Amino acid sequence: MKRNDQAPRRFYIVLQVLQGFVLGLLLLLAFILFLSATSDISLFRYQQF
Amino acid sequence: MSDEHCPFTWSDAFARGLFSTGRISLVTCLTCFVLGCLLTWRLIAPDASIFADGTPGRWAESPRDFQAFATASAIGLANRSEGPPRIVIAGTSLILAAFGSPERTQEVLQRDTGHPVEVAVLAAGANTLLHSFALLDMSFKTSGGIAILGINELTLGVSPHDQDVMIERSPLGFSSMPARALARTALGSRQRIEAFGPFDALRFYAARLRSYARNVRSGRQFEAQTKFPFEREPEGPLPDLSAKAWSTRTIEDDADFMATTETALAELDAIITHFESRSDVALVLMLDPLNLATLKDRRTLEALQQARERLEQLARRRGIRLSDALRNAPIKPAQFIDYGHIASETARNQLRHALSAEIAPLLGDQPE
Repeated sequence: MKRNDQAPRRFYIVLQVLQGFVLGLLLLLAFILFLSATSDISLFRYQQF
Repeated sequence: MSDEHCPFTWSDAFARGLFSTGRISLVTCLTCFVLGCLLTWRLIAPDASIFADGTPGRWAESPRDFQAFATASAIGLANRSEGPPRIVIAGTSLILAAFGSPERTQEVLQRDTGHPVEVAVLAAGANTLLHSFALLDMSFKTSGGIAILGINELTLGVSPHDQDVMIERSPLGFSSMPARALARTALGSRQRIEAFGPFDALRFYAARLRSYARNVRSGRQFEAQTKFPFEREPEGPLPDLSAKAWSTRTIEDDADFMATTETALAELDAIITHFESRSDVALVLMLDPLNLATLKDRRTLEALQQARERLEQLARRRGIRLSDALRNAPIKPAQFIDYGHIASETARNQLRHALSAEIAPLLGDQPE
């Protein structure tokens, strides 16, 4: 009975870790895009020769 | 929000697990972000790169993964400002086959010129002019020297579409602002990750993750093998060259060839402008060796001649040295395996001596 109580909780923890992982990657992507738009490692701006 | 004490049902767990943000999620998110930042920085920033020692470590897929060896070598040079004058030779597989081992080339150059020099050969099969530009720019990031750009009339005629494909297939392991800008100007807007940008550099590592894991598991680390496999096995059968589809090249459409040559010349022009701003870098354009015996088609020869004239005009106009030392070296057709790849150490030595004679004046008269 006790083991059954724990199963949804473990499922919740797994989902939270997954959520954190996805949010972390999105945050990283946003950070790189921000840096690239504002600094020397630009992805989108470029100098004309 | 309290995670710990409330009794969960499956639907609670699903809804809260996905749609609410608890401590577990926040901690995971921050850990991923920090680790991701560190990893990205370590991979794509030349100053912090894992290739700072000039070798690709376990990232090389094979002894002939020249994109990895060239990347590592360029980053290694960028991280060192001391040492003897550096001579960096960039180009396609023709240059790679022509000079072979950089160590051996360095030995010959040092002996012939009487100068201590450091030689790097940053060439690979799928290199475009833009690859060579990015590699040269990275090599001279902190110190000057002689930049030798191997070119030939055939590869000048590679269309922008084919250049796109080559860039797509062979990313370098670092981002390069000047190469990115030139790619944008020369090849136009692209509907994918921008060439020579940080994400493009990450593709280099992503493509090698499996072989990296294999190399870590087996403790294997490849050394560059510049000789062709059949050269290393004198007992082995020689390849049947007549069966090779790439044993010669023909130009089918002259107008198209000349149009793409003009695009390449515009790229070259921009590369010359870039290095003009570096008073400590001497740029030399060097014609790759070609096996003219395989290029018999009259139209092809005429198109090549036209391209050569346009190249000479550009060099004259920009006051840049266009060397034909390799092209004019007395290499026998039997020492080539096709239209331009050399497979003979004797021929390579001839080319190394030809290179020495070409660059000796640039190193000064007095041996150090």
